[in-house]
Amino acid sequence: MFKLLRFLKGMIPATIAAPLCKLIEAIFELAVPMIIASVIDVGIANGDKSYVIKYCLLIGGLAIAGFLISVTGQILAAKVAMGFGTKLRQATFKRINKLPISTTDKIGNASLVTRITGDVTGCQNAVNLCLRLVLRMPFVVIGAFVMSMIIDPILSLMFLAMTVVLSCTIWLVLRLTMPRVKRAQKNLDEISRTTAQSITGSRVIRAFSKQADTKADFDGVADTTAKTNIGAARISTLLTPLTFAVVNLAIIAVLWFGSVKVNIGTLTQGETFALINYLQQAFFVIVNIGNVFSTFTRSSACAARVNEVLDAPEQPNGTLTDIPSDCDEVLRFDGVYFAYDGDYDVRDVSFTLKRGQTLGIIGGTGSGKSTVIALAEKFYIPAKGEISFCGKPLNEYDITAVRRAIGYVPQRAALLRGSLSSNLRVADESATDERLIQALNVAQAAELVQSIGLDGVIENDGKNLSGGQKQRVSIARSLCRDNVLYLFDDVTSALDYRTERDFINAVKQIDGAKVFVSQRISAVSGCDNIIVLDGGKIVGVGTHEQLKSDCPLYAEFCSSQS
Amino acid sequence: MKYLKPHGGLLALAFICAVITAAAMLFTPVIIGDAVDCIVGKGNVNFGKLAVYLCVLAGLIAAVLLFQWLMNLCANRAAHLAVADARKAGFAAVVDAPLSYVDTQSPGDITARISVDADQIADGIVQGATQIFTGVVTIIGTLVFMIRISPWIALAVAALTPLSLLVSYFVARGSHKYFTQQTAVRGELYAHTEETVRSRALVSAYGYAERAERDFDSTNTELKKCGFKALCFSSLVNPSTRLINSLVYAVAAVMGTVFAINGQVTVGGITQLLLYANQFARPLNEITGVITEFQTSLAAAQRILDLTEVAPQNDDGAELKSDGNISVQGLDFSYVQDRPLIQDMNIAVNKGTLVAIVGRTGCGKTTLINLLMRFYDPVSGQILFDGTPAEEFSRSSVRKNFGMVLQDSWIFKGTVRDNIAYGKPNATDEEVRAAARAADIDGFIERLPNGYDTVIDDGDGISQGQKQLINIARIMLVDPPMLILDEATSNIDTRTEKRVQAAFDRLLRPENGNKKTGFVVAHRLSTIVHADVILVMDKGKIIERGTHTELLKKNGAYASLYQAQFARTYDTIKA
Repeated sequence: MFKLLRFLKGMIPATIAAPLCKLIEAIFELAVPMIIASVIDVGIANGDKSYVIKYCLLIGGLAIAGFLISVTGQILAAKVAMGFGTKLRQATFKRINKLPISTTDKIGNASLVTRITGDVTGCQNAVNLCLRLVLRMPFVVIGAFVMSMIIDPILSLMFLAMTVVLSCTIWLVLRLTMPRVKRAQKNLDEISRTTAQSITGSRVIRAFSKQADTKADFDGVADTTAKTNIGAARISTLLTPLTFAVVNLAIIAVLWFGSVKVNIGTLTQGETFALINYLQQAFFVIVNIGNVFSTFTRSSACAARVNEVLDAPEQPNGTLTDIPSDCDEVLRFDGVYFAYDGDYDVRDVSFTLKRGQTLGIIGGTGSGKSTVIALAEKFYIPAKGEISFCGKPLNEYDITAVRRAIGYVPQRAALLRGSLSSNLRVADESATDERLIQALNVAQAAELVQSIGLDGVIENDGKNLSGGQKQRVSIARSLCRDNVLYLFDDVTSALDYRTERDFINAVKQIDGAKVFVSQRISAVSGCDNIIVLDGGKIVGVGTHEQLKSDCPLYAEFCSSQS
Repeated sequence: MKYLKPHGGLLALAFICAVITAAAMLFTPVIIGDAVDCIVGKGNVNFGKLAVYLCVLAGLIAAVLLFQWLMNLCANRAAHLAVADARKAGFAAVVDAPLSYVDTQSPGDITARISVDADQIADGIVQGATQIFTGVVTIIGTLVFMIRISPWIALAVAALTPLSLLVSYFVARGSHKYFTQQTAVRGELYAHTEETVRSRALVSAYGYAERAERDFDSTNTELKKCGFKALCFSSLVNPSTRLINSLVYAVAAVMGTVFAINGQVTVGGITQLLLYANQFARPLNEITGVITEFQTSLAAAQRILDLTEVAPQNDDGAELKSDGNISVQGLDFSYVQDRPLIQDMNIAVNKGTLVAIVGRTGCGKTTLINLLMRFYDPVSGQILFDGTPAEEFSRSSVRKNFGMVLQDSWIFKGTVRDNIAYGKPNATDEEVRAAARAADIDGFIERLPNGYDTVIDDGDGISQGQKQLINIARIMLVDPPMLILDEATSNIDTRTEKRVQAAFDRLLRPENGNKKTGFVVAHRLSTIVHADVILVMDKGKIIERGTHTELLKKNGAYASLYQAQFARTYDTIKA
């Protein structure tokens, strides 16, 4: 959490002023019981009405001043916390865009999103709470203690004892509740899981008429959850009554020992009263400590997760921004090895792709096809070997320049919220409508333009489109600008064979070298050169005809798909 | 709320405990005040009376300790039991609902209703039962006690109450407005973040990061603005409560001391009054807080009640024991009115026939399967089993006659054995193994850490192909008279597909020669060339029917589909 304090920069005055305001408010609050004590001991004892009214006006004045200062403090704290959160959120978001894909893959999508949203908010709440309470809480407790010391040093020991007992009680109850709450949380996950499973399996459940059994299983989970929750409540609900008991026991003790002292004459009635008041003030604060403590534990976990993103190293980058246009070889792999984790997923892959030529890569699931594409895009960096782009090593380039020259179409079509045209213009903000239409035509998506138009709404993740439509929009996007190289990563899997053929024929008319990755023979058979991958290794290179006779795996693909 | 009824006794008990707790809590300041009155000054302490008061105080503490705990126990018990019942009812409704309902709902939304929303109801009930009960009793009790000490001061404090209510109302309304706004902006920010993170390959490939950051910044700034307002409003709650409290305190103090000087109240009385004045605003604020929470939990309750009100699908009718003769007559169907999906379909299928259905995506292939399985009911026309209309049989018995394998295989969390024996839970170990062997998955299962007792889950460790084979083994074990295979191999890589295909063949054409009636929907035409009859569908109509050779000869839609699939091969052969 401390590492993140740099995001408070520019808000230092407010950061200091906020807790100070809360401190002043606490001082006012502590003064009140003392004033009342003197009202009882002096005002009532002497029957001095004007004294009483004067001091009570003072109490009212203090209350209003305290309110104003407190509100100022709260507003300042809110301002600092929101400013902090906004800056941190922005920095985290930017950072994630800069990180290499290999790093972000390891963290995972869901976790990345939680870090930017939930975790940053967690840190922001901690800052807010800290500014509001960090000075106030100890001050009230210590202040109340000191005040009681001034009144009576010996009775204030009672105060100390109460604080210790109270803290222990809270700690013990929380400690006993935690594992039960965690178990309840797990049960809730189980409820979600069972429900989700029954929805995905709704057809199979009905096909086997297993509705009754499914319900019985769920009833079991629901009952266990109820039982765990009731069990957790049994302990956690002890907290309030127990703290109430501890404080009132302390009051009993103060009354009893106080009475002895009053009898001797070392203490007054008003002072006894003030002591009780201080006990209660401290009590309310201590009860809150449990809350504050759990907020801080949670937020330090949040901060650690945010820091992991902020501290992750950026991808090394080259400086070359001009892409040579005279080189004949567009893409070249030279003995490239790569491993996600442990064993190599791509081994000793070498090939060259010349300007204007087409390369097919075929293989089963897990053969390393998509990894080769990702390496060419420099999403990952090879463990061994070298990749060259237009004659120069990929590492020497500024990667954004290279990517600007490559039309990459991922396996899973990624569509953004917005319109059809805004999705296409991701490739080139200034592309004309004609260009977009032309690209859509090549991608065999003319039908889509007719039905929804260029301004047609695209929902999050393209949920309003079919799998085939999404793939075609994703293809069209890459064709909205001129590229030196196109990488099509299994982009026709949701298209029927006729549409696939029409697309391949149309895209051949477009300038630029092309790589087609697929599991289907039909998508690669027309390429100038075809690579067959198995277990990350090249097991065959050549044209369709050559491979059919020379490569047993390729022949197997052919026979199973014909 | 009807789920709370059976637990009314518990709630009543909680209420009684709440009254006792609140009363005991109210008496505490009285006793403390009386005790302070015993300690007047030097040599003027009534120790006897003080001891009695302190004992009473200890008794009160014990009472609060016991009854507050009991109250919470009862409320929690009632709440969680009621929630469990509501969950069960909601889940049962989803399981019994017609597929036309399930298909149109978002799975995440239904799951949220049954899991998280239901939890919120429990919170609402517990808070409502405990806080509102004690709060109301405390407020009334406080007033009564104050009137007893001094009616005028009580009147003054009561007169200040509306002020407190007004302030909490104002704060609650303001913060509600900005919190709603903040939730909306945060949702927007979440959506944008999720989208950018999910599409980060695209973002880096097309240099979209800058534009994404620009959008993010504007939403982020907006969040800062409304978040600040929301935070300010909500942080007003505590100081303003304290302010009102202090003002009430000051008024009570002035009046109390003046009255004390006039001898109308004792010092102990003032102590009590001041303690009460301190207590007065708190339950009021708590209740306003609880009421907002209660509203959210009412909304959550409504969401789960909506689920339970979905009408279950009827399952009446005779038991079907089909021989495998099916005929479809004048079938019309549409999911949405005015957009017909199947129009005037007629098919006659005799026992043992293998029917293949082909066509482009969205032509109604899967819909036909939905109708055969009675997942959906036709708009008009009918399906006959051995000459009798399908509606005369119960849905469950119609489904029992079919074995169905879909594109998305389904594995539930459980052992491999349980997954295979899903349709026949009393199957012997030998039967399960035989089914696995027939589906060619036996070897894989044996290699799992615990063999057939390995717990598997959708997702981890096993590939799509292996899952599909387990699904086939499931069907093998039940051995139904009719089969439906809906694009069952399209998610599988080609090498595994061969094994799946072989398993299908054994299922459709078992060695005992007892051929099954089968319906196969397929993308890859190679898998269906041996079908007895191929139906080519387009826009909900059958446009061609016949065997593979007949249709190729016809040189129509089927022939062009078939050629498209192998065009590459032909091109290169020609070249």
